[in-house]
Amino acid sequence: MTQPYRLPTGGRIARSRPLRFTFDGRSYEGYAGDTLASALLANGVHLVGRSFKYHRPRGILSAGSEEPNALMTIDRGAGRVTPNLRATQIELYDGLCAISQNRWPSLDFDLGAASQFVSRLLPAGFYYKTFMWPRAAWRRVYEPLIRRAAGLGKAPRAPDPDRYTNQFAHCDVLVIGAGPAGLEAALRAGRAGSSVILCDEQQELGGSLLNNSQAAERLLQYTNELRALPNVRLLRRTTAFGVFAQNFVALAERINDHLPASNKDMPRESLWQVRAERTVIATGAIERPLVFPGNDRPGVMLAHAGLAYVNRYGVLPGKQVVIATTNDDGYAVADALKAAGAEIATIVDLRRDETIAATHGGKRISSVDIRLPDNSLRRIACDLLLMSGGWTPSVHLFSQARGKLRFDVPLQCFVPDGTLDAIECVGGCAGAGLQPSPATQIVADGKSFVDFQNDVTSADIELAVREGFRSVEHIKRYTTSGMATDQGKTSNMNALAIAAATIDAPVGSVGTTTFRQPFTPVTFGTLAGLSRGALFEPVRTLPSHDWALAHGAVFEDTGQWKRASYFSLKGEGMRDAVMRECRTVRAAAGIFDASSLGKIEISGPDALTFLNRIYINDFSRLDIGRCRYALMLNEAGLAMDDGIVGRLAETRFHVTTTSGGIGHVLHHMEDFLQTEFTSLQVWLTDVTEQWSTFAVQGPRARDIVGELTTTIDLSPGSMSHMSLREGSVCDADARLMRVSFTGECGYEINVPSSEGARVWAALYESASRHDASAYGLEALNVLRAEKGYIIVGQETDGSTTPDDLGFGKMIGARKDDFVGKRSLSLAHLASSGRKQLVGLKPLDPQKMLEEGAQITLQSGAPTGSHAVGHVTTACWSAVLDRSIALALVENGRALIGSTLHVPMPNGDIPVEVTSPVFVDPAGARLHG
Amino acid sequence: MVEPVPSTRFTLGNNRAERVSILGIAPGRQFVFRGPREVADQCGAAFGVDLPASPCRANRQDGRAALRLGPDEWLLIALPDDAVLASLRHSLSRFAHALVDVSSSDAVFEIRGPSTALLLNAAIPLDLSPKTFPVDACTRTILAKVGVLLWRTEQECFRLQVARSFAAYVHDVLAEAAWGLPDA
Amino acid sequence: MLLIRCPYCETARPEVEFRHGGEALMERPRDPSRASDAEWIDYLYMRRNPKGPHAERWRHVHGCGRFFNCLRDTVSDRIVVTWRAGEPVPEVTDGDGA
Repeated sequence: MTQPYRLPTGGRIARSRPLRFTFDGRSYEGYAGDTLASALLANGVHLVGRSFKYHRPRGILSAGSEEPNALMTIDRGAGRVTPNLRATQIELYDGLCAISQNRWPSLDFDLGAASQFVSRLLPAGFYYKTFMWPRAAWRRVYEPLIRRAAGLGKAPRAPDPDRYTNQFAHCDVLVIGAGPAGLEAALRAGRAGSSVILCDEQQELGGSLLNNSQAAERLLQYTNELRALPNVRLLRRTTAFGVFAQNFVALAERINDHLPASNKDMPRESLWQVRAERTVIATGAIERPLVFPGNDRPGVMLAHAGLAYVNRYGVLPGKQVVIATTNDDGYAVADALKAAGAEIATIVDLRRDETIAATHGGKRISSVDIRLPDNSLRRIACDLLLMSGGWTPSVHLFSQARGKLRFDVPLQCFVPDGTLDAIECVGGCAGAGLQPSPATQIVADGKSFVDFQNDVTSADIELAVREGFRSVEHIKRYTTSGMATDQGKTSNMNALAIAAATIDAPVGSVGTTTFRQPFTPVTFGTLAGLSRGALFEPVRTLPSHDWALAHGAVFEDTGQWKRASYFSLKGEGMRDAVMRECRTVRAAAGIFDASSLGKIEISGPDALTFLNRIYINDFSRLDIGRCRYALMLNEAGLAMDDGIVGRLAETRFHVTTTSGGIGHVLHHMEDFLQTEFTSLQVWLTDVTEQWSTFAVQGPRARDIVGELTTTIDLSPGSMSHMSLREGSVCDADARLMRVSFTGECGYEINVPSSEGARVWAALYESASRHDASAYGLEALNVLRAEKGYIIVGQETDGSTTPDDLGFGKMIGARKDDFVGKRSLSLAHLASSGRKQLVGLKPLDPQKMLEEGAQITLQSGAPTGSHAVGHVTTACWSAVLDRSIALALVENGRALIGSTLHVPMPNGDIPVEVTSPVFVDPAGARLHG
Repeated sequence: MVEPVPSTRFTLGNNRAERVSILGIAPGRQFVFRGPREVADQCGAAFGVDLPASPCRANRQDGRAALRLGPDEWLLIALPDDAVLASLRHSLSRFAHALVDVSSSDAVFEIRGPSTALLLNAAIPLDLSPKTFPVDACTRTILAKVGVLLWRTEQECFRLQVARSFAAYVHDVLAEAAWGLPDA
Repeated sequence: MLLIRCPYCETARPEVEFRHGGEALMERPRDPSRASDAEWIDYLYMRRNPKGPHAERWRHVHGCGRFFNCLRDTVSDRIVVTWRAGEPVPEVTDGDGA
């Protein structure tokens, strides 16, 4: 017979829609509307897992998100294996495949369970006390053993194939929890015309109304009215898992895990980031277990979970029922189970001085020992023990929002103390309508579990107090009570009560531990949202990108930009390609896409004054049509960025920055304009992406560019090195600069980006006619290093002054002030002994240096010796056919000609200190 | 003028296309004007559209628009063949200001349909309800990980500009988010 | 994510649109060349690190681009009030700000 414990009628399940599912390989049947837990109980399956530390058999304790025991792995195919899901929240679908956890070799026969017989050796703090020594054994022996013995499900190894999404939302009222209090709050706000979001973690709205067969009509009225309100958004299967500063609430919506086959197009989950004018927390209350020996045996269940299985799912979780209770709710549950056909063997009312002394049974409870007021024991046979120790309001979210709590003596739990500005608690989570429940302490031999998921017993907490722990935060960490994935939803109040009783202090004075996000675990996919895979980070491409793809480019990432590292012709390797590109530039010419350079147009009557205050240079004599290399310092006097300043008109300048520098350079400039130099009339416009920039460098650069323009006179007499012209190139509006980052005669063509790809293609055609080719970043790096041209961030490191770089003469001596000037005369920047830019030539010209390598004065310097400098750039010079490097070396300029040492793992590399300019020091090629 | 990105790329190929479409459109002529309020008035007179004085507002007239980006910064948009922008420099030559052609800087998307605001809110944290972000509200903001310029041109239509090298990213983020559009 | 009211855009906007600009109300010496080393180092490096209300500079970098001032409580993260650069520190009444 299938589903032997399914009641013939009743419940909210759809009996017309039977579903097949498997649990540990065995096939079962349930109904649409079931959870995995209710379907297992309908089939009489109570043993669903093994405990964390002692591998004790465990059953289903609850019917909701507080479940500590029934954790499952759900297998939805490759990459879609999710461990540690609560069976009480997993909606049944056809073909669901569930696997139990933390057992070996099988759930029924678990070798690890032997540990419970040596459990006196595993008290609180056991790990801290035992696995101390020898130190190395921790990583190799203890940790792997413990991890195997104690654990939860296994994290999947395959990449997650699902989509996830994100939704920012704003509303007047956010209601969390769709039980009776939440439904009413949402209705009130909705009727008043407010925009409302109502979320609930369950698949159906209703909360506790779902467990009340008398309330079905009322629930239907609520939900029908809510659905009809266009200003109310209902989010089912959506857990409010965190409340953050300023009433910012995060919700995790599970979109398709409840559907049979993953719809690969739909996202699996969505993160809702909600800003509400007002938040109503209606998260209800969680029933407390009782702490008595053997309270973790399968078949021991929270009383209201039993009620939910009967009334909501039409499942009788047991036929012979004992109820243990501290409050009147236990009797109502007894009535409901009796009406459903169960035999109520007895009700143990702890208020009458009765208590549970022990439970018996192997993998399912078979009897209980009841200690009567006269201290005698009575054994009663049963297959279900329902317990109610009172109610604990779900104040998690209120507490995350920094709401204050107070201890309520009649309820024996913490309740919200007042409201917050925009957050209020209603219903059970505010303590409203809960049955008073006196404090109860059951003292008896045997394992009485407090935290089921982390296997913490009352004895562990008492031991922690005996060993001197007083703060609840310390007791929590020492015993690990409340630190499992359920964060102690069912255990925290009991743990506090036991700690308080052991310390002999009132519970209210002991306080409570911190409630942390998330309320229930959230997948990493939900948190990542859209930012996965190709969308993790924007990829920016240059105007020549498609051309480069078709011409053998090998790309490298510089920030978000994809830039050609080199162009591999006929299968060339990197070194051959780079050397060929270098030789081509020096022999004929090369073209390079430099469009990622930052560009700023600076206009206004005070533009010149502003530039003089921002850069170290003096631009007072910079004529219209001329440009200049410029260095920018921060206020501490240290190099921050460099670029070219070109004068377009009396009051208009075209300024470039490094590729990655545009953001912080603009920020820096705006900072001084807006807050220090406020009287200046200057405006900055970012034109980085307005202009595509192509460098043409080499002895034939003039011939190549000459073929593309008729409006600009390129002759050296008219357009010498460091000139700027506006005109047209390839019939596009152009700003043409004669500048060089290679030491060759060179131009940078700026054209509007919409024309970039077209102009690049024309430029390549022209270049080809002059034996020139495209070159990439690697060749550029060699060409500029041969000339000793610096790259900010490579030759500078945030502690480099202009003088360190040999730029002392660039500083406008007549300027009263510029950003960073005052700092340059501070002792630590002006004293001798600073690292200065030099060149290095290994005495063995074949020997390559490594960037970042340290430099010493002596050979064979022992470890810990003072390093006088470090290598900033190292490369093979094509034109010199030898290894060269740039370096920052203490008093480096005075050391030119001497020999230093670069210690490497395979021995010292002796190097000669040289000028940083290796090629054409007189600049004949540059001005040619 | 060559469009930054072909439009066809931006039409959603799934069944949600009816509720929202993402279309790459020609940016037109665009200039940034920066200057003091008095000069902005002169600029508006010459441009034929007043430069808005209120934050985050756009004014429109006869195919021209002026969007206020900041207290001293406006974006002027005109049709590709409109000569007015080129003549502005002459009209304003006596005044201290900045006028910079940025027609090639940005890629422009038109996002249209009943679910437009929902779709944008997958990646933009602003409140885009008509109450707080009505027609002709405009602002720079963040979409996923990049800065964008957002302008509501109709109740169910937004114009979204982004620096051209981010166009593919912005499109792909919105197309991905479209799969997860919640029920409106 | 904090909401910060931009005093130029006159609306509360999400934190991701802003960039923090360090402590506010730092005075750059009017003539740096006349500042003593000690005064200059004070301006460069010495900052308060209060527990409680802290005057900070923020920039609406992905909005109007303006720098402004902000009083933020470093304990609760509450933005008490924001005001435009160069304007006097506003009188704080409870409930102001974002």
